[in-house]
Amino acid sequence: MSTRDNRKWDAVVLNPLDQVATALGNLSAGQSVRVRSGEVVEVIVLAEDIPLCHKFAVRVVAQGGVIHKYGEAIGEASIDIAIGCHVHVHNLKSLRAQRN
Amino acid sequence: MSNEFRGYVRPSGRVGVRNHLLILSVTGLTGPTARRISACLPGSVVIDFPYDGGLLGEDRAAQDRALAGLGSNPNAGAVLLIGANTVRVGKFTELFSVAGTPVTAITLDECGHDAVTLTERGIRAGALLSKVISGLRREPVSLLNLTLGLECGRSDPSSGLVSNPLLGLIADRVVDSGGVAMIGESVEWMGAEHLLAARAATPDVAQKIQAAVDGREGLAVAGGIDLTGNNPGPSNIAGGLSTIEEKSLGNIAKSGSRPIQSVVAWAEAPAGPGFHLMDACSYAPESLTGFSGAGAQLLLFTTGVGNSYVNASAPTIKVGANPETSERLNEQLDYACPAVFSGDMALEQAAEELFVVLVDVASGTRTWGEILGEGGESFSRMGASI
Repeated sequence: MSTRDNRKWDAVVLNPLDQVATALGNLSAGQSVRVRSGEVVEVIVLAEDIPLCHKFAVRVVAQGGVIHKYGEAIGEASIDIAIGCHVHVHNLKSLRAQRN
Repeated sequence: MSNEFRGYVRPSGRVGVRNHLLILSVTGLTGPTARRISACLPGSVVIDFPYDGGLLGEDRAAQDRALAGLGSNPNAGAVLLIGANTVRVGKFTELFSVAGTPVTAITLDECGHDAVTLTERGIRAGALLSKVISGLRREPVSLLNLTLGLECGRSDPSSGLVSNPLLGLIADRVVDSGGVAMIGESVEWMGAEHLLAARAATPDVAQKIQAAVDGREGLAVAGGIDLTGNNPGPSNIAGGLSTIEEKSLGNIAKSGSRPIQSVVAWAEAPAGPGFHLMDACSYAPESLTGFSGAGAQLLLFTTGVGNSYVNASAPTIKVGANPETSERLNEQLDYACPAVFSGDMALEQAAEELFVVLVDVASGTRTWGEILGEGGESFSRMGASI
């Protein structure tokens, strides 16, 4: 259930390069959420529950693809990620301080 | 809004935002006595440095730098120095006296190594110092006298979206007024170091930023730890942060947009005005002591899911934007702006409001952390003792 039913949008994309949006409330699987990116608001159907402040995909990301937030790399997809899916430590892996 | 606050102008010309009687124990041997004396002198601030004998090399230099910095922080109106031997304590007495700070030193050597005698003499000497500094008054001074330390702890994505960019606007304002601002937590530059390096005032500073990050990254790899689960830690991950890169990109928003003048070591004072980086650990208690030891009189500390810790020497203004945290932590957050997070308030307007809070606190209004006594000092160790 959205805690932001009276708001104009439920989540924000911070930069046009980003594949993820940040939830501005606790959002539910199946919910059509309004995602703001700059001046544009698009509707995305969530595949999973997204807690406040967590991220979900607004674009498909293939395994190994670099994921961006703030227009900068925040890691890579460890599995294929579909639109509306939760993006977190289970499918997003840091590219730093790795032992090779 | 005027760029002035009301502070205590010290004989050195530096300005305190507080007028502490500082009880500074420079060896772990006298920590209990220092705390006993402080308990008898309400309002005094005690710093009980837990080490001394066997400190070596860089570690010894860092600890002495931190103690010297804390004792000469202009928030200390007077210093009661407590220690074991007259030679070591005498070095600090001379340092603080040169700066014009009223200082009285008492050692176990002079008390026949009787802690009860040291306690009694300490209470009497501290009471006298307290009387002397109670006669000092605040006066209007420019913001250029301010050294600001910027911290984040138990962050979540609301920190990177709102609270940290808000601190960035405050940092820019202090820097533009001729003051000093700095961030530390160098592991949390990782993934964003190219953005910091692009703001370096000189190629040498850019190189030092990269070297600081390489050093922290090397420590993580050599330590065999996966940063995910460590930094970001469990509370960051529960809050929605997934990787060190994501956390860093949010963290560096605290640094604002002005040129980066230097990279200093833990508890090392920047040599001039402007914005600086401190290459130091990200654990908040040690990081905050790095700032107050470097001369910061005032700290701004953002949190996502809540973090009660503050610094003992420098008032620490807690800032949050997470709507759930803002509602829950009334006696922790000195400034909350969930309306910015929800898109109902401009960041610039929040910066104006936070700036008013900053001037108020710099002029004497107490923070929640001060009222509740959450302050401490914590010393980063750089190596083993013999």
